[in-house]
Amino acid sequence: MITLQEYLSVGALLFTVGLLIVLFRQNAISILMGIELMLNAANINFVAFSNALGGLTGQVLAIFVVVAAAAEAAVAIAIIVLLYQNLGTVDVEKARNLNG
Amino acid sequence: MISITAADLSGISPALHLAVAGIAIMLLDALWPMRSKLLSVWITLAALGCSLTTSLHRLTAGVDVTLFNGAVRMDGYAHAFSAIICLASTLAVLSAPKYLRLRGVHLAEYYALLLFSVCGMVLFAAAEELIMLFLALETLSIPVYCLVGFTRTNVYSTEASMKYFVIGAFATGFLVYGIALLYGAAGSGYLVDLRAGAARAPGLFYAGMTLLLVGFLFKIGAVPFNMWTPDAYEGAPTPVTTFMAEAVKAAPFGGMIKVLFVGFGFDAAVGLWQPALVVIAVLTMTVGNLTALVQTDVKRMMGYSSIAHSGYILVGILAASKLQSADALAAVLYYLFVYVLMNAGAFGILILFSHKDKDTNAVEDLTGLARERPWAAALMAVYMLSLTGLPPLAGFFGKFYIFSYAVKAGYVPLVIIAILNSVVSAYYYLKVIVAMYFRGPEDTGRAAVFHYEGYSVFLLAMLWFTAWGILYYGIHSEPQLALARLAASSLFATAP
Repeated sequence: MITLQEYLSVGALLFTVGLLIVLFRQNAISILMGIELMLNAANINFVAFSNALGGLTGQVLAIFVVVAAAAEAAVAIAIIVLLYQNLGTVDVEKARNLNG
Repeated sequence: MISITAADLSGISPALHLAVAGIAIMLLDALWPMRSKLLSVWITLAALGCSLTTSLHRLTAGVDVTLFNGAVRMDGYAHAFSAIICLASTLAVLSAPKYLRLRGVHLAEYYALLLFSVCGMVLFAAAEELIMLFLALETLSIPVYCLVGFTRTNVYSTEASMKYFVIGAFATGFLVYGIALLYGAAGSGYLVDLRAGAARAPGLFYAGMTLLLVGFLFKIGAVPFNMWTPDAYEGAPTPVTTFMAEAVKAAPFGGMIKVLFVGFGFDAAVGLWQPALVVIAVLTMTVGNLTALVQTDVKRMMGYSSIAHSGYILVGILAASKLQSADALAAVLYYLFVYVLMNAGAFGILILFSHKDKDTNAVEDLTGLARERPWAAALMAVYMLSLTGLPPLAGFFGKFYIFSYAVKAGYVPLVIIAILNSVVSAYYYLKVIVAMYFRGPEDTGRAAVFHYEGYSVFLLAMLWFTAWGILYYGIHSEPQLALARLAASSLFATAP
């Protein structure tokens, strides 16, 4: 029997990994993957809580998050393709035309 | 049995108008591409106008309905935000055709994307439930990522789009994780039930609250979560920057205030968010203003200035939460209304003098404007003075109401910091006025040309309306405040 704590730990671990990827990787595709990990960490929590609490709210939320993540990924990949076309790289550190 | 009734649909009609118009524009563009551009401008304006009047009408009529099994609540508060956001978006739409035509990207998709985003914003302030809150946030954010990169061949635009996407999606990650923890703590997705989580599972609840707040602070561009906001403002096409600086800025406050007041409440145990927000407000105002001082690009400067204004609005939210009074929250709504007018106008002037191959963005580009185009310079001066907060312009009254309620709430040091910040901000707003009025081509060594390329009636209408609004609604703020009070009291009716 897997306990709620164990599910939450996996979720927290995934979230941390995603967070670190977004913060420290420069490749735009890696960053996108990091963001997906963060969203899916939340999904694990939703489903785990839904299981522990009973009721379907958490599972419905998880499905919506999957949909939204797919929409976000579609836009992100389009932006990454544009970045590659215009700059010849998908390295966000090299995209420094705006002095940020 | 869960069903969607006619009452549900008519209740969310402010959002529904926009979604239907967006879909209609996409169909129109596919079926009749030759004529779709100008027609879609009119469809967009009509849809926004319908939503605006519906919202205002229902706000004054005191309509308060809970729809979709409690997921959405269209009360005075939601209608007021809907009205502010529709007004802001109308101003942004009016400024778009000229710029997009010059850039050769005047496409119907622009308006469809914008409408979908506005639809999300309207629902964001109306969400009573975490799923709805999340979906509305995604609906409002995703089209904006596309809009920022709308000038596809432009390197800056693409880079801004990438950066904006990363911060936006990063914020969403925090927000969703926070929602997951809060749901686990409270055992329910409804905002009114969230508070119960503090007693049931405090660890989860406080972690969730922190993450949710971080997500919101990212969205409003508060320090220290503001890293790439100015980059996104600078690189985006100017009409999109207008949209981002007013509508996309105002909308997250709608959801945030509701989650804070209705979801977390004001009890001492749950009210831990207040001290955190005090620190964030001080940082946001100070860092925003100090960084704006050294900017030479007006769009970038306005980016930092919008960060600083988020700080002032946070002061207003803090005051409203401490006093728990509808009047104090009404001041925040009034401020948002005024803020929308000032920002739309300032970016409008930049668009007015944008040329085919070059934007007019640098402060230096405006040198000597007053000699050649006295009216345009006068309008810009009105916007800048109002942003500074000089009486009798609306910007002054906006700040005045917020700060006086903050003093009443006992946040005296916070108000002193805010006023000092306003003084500092005068420097960079006045820098624009000095360039326009007191310097000429002899100072910069190059002749600036201010000719209108791609004359647009829409844009001129927008500029005159915002300037009139700033002059008129400053002195005659009472009707606006009365509406805002109506809206604020409906929120406090549900708050504990």
